Amino acid sequence: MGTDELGLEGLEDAILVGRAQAGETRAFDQLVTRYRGRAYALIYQMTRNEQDAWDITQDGFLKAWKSIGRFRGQSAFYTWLYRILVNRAIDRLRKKEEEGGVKFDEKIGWESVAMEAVTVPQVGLLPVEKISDEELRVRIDEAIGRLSPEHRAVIILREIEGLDYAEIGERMESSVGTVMSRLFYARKKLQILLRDLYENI
Amino acid sequence: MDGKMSAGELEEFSAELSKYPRAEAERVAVEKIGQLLRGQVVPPMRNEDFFNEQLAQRMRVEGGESEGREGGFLGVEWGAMWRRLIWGGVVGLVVVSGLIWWASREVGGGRENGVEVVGLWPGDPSISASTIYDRQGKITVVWLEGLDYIPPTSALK
Repeated sequence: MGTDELGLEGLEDAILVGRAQAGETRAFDQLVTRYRGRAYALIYQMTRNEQDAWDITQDGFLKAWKSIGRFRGQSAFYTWLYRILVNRAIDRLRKKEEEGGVKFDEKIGWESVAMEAVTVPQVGLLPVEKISDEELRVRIDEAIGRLSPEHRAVIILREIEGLDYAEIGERMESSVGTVMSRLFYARKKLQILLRDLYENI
Repeated sequence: MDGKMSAGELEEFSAELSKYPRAEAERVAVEKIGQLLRGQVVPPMRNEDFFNEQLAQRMRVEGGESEGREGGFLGVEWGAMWRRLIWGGVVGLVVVSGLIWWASREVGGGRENGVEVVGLWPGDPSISASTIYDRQGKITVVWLEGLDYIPPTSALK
């Protein structure tokens, strides 16, 4: 839309949001340009699929446009957008599950975790350096694919986005206790599924 | 561990943690899982401009009437809302006035005497009502045709 020629690039989010609330689509377009990459990366981490990430990011921005009149500026625009995107991704993943496309593990196979074991490199396991990037990606995709959408969201927001518990809770509309519990389960699950990889890092 | 401790607190905590092998193993595992996840490269979004174009198209088609945009926190749309309300009120008033005029004309305004025949039920043209009125005599007769009977509750007293 050529928003740069309109001098919108340098404007703060709050100004652009105000203009978008007044119905100025070019201001909203500038916000889209500003955050589409981060939004897409976040959703890709959750879905591990480029097409799903594109679709959900589109839906998220469309939802943001439709409800921008209700945004009161109590948090940063991106925080608000995050919440929409994460909820959209969770809904989409849950819908896929209902349609029979995927099945998430809601429980951890406790029997396969030796909780008292000290982590030492094990002989005969695949060192992470010796497997190709593609194989590594597939393994991680599979492992994340077995987490429930809520568990995925929490671990990605914590480990990749670097948010603290309170920030994650704000974005997922959950209590800090729920965040901590979900994070614990997600980490445990990944430890089980990726043990041969991470123990040799 | 999750970014809430100062450097001193973290050092003290780490020293204490090393006394407990199970907890230390847990810490190492958590760190390594995070390292694995962060090491993953996210494929960059392709066709970024098309993303905006597609979204703009959807905004036009699906998002034309946005939910509650009038109530934006800057209140910039209040003027437009009031203009719409006033315009809607004026148009509504004109339409209602027109309807009142039309209805009063149908009843026989401006004419001394006359007959009006109204089809009552489009499904059966044999059912009709006729009104015969005499303004001077202040009499109006309603004549119903095509009905087998009139329910007692609807009969004229």
